Amino acid sequence: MEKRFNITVYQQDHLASSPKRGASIRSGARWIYRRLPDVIIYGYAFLYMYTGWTKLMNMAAFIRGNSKIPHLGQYAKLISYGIPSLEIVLAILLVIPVYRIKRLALWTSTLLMGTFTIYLCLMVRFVEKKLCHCGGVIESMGWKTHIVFNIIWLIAGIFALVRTKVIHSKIQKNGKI
Amino acid sequence: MEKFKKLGQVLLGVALLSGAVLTQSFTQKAVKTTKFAGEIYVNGSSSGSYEKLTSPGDYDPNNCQETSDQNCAWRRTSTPGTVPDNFDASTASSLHAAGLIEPMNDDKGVYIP
Repeated sequence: MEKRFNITVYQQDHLASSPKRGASIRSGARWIYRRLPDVIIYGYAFLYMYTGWTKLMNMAAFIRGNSKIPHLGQYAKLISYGIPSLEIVLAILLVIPVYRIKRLALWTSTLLMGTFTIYLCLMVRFVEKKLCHCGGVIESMGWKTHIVFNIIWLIAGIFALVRTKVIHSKIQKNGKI
Repeated sequence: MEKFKKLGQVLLGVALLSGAVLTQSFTQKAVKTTKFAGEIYVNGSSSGSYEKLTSPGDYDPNNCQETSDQNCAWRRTSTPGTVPDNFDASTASSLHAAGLIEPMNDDKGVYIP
């Protein structure tokens, strides 16, 4: 009698064919996707605190620069004190772990970012003597780079707004994500 | 457990905001100690009142109107030091003597873009 032995040859693990490794990559990506809104919110807080503080530290130059903006120059002092104060307040509100406060701050932050982006586009399109008192190293970016930077943050803000609403409604429904 | 989670979030936020303030101090210090060169200060009045041009690339010597005997424009040298964004004619002389600025060219007058 012949005994037949089934010998199974294990192939070397290949990324595409390894279910364990693929699952860990997928779970890692899911983890990052779940945390992305928080990363964006903290990113906004850092950005606004940085730029707001820079503008407050260089207030004289900021007022002088704003006084040259067409149509808005007459409100230079109001803009110069208002914008950095708003940015710092938003930065603080964004790190408070209360859903409603965070959501309101995120809405305002995204709107403010949209306003800045529109301002930059108008500057590039219509004004010969371009003015940017954006604070810190951001001021040293080229105009196009600055617009792209702002658009990325704007899109990130909108994404975070959508995702935080989805996550919060899931938590309220099920008690878990 | 929820309390600890929220406390952790608050601490993370405070650390982040402090980090932003520290980063701002660091970049401001780095900008101040950087050797500047190439900034252009143009004369805005007949008595000699200089203001930094936002974009040095926009400078056009044809914009100098000969309505003043003051230098039309000064250029920042690479000598370490501080030059204010605005200064008058007497300050310009002091800055020139200190080697911080040099005449852009021989043109005298008021810069009108």
